[in-house]
Amino acid sequence: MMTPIVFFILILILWETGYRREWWNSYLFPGPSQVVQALIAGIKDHSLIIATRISLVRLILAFGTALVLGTGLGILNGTVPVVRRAIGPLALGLQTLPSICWLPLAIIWFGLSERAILFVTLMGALLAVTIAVSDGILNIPPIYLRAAKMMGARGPRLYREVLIPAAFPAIITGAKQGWAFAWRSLMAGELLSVSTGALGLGQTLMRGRDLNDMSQVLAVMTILIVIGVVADRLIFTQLENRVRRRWGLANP
Amino acid sequence: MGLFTAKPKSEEIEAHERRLALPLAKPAKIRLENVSVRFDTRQGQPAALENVSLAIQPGEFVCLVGPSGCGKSTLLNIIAGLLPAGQGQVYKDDVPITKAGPDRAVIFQEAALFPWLTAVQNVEFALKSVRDKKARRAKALEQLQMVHLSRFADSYPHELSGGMRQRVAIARALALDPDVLLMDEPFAALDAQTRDVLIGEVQRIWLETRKTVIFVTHNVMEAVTLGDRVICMGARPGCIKQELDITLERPRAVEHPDTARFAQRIMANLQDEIAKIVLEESDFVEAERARGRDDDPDRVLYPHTNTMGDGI
Repeated sequence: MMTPIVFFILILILWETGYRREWWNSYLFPGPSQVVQALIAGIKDHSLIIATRISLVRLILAFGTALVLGTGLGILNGTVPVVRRAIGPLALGLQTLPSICWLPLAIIWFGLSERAILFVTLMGALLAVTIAVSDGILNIPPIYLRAAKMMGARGPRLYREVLIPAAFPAIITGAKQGWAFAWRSLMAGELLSVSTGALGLGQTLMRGRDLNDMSQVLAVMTILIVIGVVADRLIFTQLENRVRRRWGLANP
Repeated sequence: MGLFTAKPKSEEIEAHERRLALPLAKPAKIRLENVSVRFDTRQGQPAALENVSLAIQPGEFVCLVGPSGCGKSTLLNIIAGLLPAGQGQVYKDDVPITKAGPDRAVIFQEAALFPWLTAVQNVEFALKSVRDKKARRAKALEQLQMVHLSRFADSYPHELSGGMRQRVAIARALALDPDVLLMDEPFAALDAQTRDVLIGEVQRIWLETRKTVIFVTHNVMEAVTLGDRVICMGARPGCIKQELDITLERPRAVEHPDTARFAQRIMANLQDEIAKIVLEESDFVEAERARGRDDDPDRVLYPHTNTMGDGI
């Protein structure tokens, strides 16, 4: 625990020293003190807080939709062999496509609007969730299904009480991956459509570039890192571990 | 006249006819007729089961023993409705078996409990027909009490030992209140002490409930201790070799000399089967060697040593 903190502080000192001694052109790469000032200023005038909120709302909307649709598609893909054979390869192919490639289409379909960004974010997460859920279903130990059949569980009850709980650890892992993909897609979408809708974090970052304000760019990047770490470490990894322990998949 | 000649004779005949009629009057709980099953393997289609016919009476405890590959688990899965019978017919109470159902509870080798449910919740899963939640919980706890696990009702399966998990599986199966209890090598993965305890418990539960039980095992002592009837199966193709009624008093102890005597008789019969497998194996090795492919003699797996306690 100490090692990364010490290392982190050393990096900050080195960075600040380099900035003050003007080892490089300071306006190209401002020091940490400048970044902190930009952060404080952004928080004081609420611009960064508003941008964060806008981006998070977009993310949650798109990710939530991806989670619902992806889980549904994943279950369909995992339980109906015909569907799997038909759309499986397509889903894999589409997953390799960086979701930002949907942006031109999205702009044509939805205009330079909020919906274009949401669509790109949704497409970023949807297939990751779908594939994780369907893999989770396919990897359910057959003995659970035999036990369920033996006890007469079928139809909706089989899905609700056996298939979904059995695949739940995989669904959580899929959600974690989906979140990461959604986050990247959202930033790409916001960066590439600055004029669209309200100013999210990506657009604020781009505006910083336009104004040659690198400390604002770095301030936004700092917020992005913090949100990423919090979501991954404190939310998804915790949830994942708890589920794995409960399911007896990890040592308690 | 007829007083001393005809009457005793007619009584004798009547008794004889009654004995003959008895099995007909009492319909079999489970009946298999000429069941054959083949599985596709790389070696072609060896018969997992060939022309197996079998009738099991209500309340009977039948044990199926035999070497690996004799199709005893396949037979059980067919009765469970988890595998289709390739050819032939399978009936429960003279109704053809087409799919799995709670009337034929299965206890698998691995307990097959749902890891996301606690012990009591696992038992409750089997009690879906009980609508009232409180009544359902009470009934599940009652079942757990029968296998002495009340204290562990709220434990998750991974927090229980192998023997305890298997007991939860037994409680779950009994909660279904099945017509037939199918047990597929339920104690094979347990240590010897735990197994002996569980044999005792299964025997006690059977004496209390008198369910029809079909119990698959490779352990002859286990079969003799538990079964009213032990059916010995042979491999390649899977078929019934011998049936033996175990006429010992219950409850029986695992290490009792009488049990050992019956076990001895079965072992003698299975000896041929084991010899057959060893022979086939060595033929296979010879053939491989002749083709110059076998350079690792350790690869050859001989069947387990032929001790009484540890099965075949």
